[in-house]
Amino acid sequence: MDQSIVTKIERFIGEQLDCVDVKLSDIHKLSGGAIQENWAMVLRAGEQPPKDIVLRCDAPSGLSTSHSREEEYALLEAAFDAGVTVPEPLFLGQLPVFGRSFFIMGRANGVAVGHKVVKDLSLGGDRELLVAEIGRQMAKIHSITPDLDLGSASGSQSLDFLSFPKVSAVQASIEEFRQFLDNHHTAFPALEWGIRWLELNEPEPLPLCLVHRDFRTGNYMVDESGLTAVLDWEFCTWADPREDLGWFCAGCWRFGRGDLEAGGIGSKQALLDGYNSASGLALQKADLDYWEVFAHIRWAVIAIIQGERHVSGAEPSLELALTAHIVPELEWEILRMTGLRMIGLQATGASL
Amino acid sequence: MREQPNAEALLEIARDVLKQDILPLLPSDQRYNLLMVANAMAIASRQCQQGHEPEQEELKRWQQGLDSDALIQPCAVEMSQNIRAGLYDSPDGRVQLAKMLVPSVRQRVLESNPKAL
Repeated sequence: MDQSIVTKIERFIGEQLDCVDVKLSDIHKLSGGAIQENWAMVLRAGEQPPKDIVLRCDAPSGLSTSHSREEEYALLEAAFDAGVTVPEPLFLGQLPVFGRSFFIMGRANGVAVGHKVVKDLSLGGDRELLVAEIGRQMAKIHSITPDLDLGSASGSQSLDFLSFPKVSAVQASIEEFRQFLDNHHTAFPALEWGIRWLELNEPEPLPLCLVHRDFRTGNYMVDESGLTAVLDWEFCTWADPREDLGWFCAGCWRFGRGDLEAGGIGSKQALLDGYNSASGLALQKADLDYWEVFAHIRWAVIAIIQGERHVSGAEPSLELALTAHIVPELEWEILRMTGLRMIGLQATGASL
Repeated sequence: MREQPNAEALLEIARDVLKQDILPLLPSDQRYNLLMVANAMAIASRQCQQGHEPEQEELKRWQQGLDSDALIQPCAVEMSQNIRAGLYDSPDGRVQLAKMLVPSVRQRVLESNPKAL
């Protein structure tokens, strides 16, 4: 990071803390993040002990596909106030400081990479306890509801920027999926079937609450003893709480451990026990089946969008190109879960 | 007449060199990239191996199921519209749709990630 930018950020933090003696050191960019950049650094302010912090800012390309940094900061604050294990939000920066939107948060320690978390049993502590804790964390996120007056309660930013579905959250998603497919150059009939199945089997909606929408293995950090942070708050919206549980358990996010139904790390029952104990709901394993189909369809649509970034020539990338090739296996699973695969295998017999 | 080895065999031997000889020499932060390259080559190799026959069979199956002589993309669009309109909601409709869809999706998985079958 350019020294002139570091000086500007030091001055900004000094103003926030009302402290003239602010120094940033050990600055290095963390890996990952094509749209946002994360910079780790150590903050020394006056006589205070040094603090590990992370500055999160827009990448120079300025691509905008999710919540802005201001909105993400508001979400992080709301989650922190609700008792979710997240990096402590410290300062919301302003564009004029160095020309990009940013915020500063505490730095959580641990490992997030999905396949490492799944395979390395020295991480995360007892896995069933970890899964139950994840269930409790989800319940805390879902305790944030549209009628909660965040602004007056704690001085936090409001979540007014989150839109409300005009119909049920499921119907809003169905409309969104279909709109995308209608505007895409290639038809995906198996996905269309999955979407139709969602429409025909929609359960009675639960009251809207804050849903993370990307809470899965790979998006939380663990150290040797357990969970240290829930990450990536950029897809949050008001929706049905079961969507998060289905996304976490979906077969496509188990990193090779299909037998461990909760994110490749533990049992679905432990997740639900943790969730139910903190939320007061009484969800059963069967309640998640619908939401696992929903998760596969949503991930398939995202995978097509990501693949298209390469196919269109806008952003040549091997990783994006390979993401497009995940779609068939997601469709195969959708056909199984909705019963169509078995019908097809019986009807066509030996030819398969 | 083309030289032997053909595309599929070339991709296969090139992939073996990458995984057996080059991968162990790479620093850990580059291993993921090489594994992605190997995966892309494996998909390309399986597509070469399968040739165009599965697509022709798919077209025939879809034309028969839709009673149409359209090409593959218009058939996919028609099937999608039918699904959305509820034409395959009934038990018989589901059998009709499954006959068209299941072999097609299976074939695509066979090429993109056969381990998922």
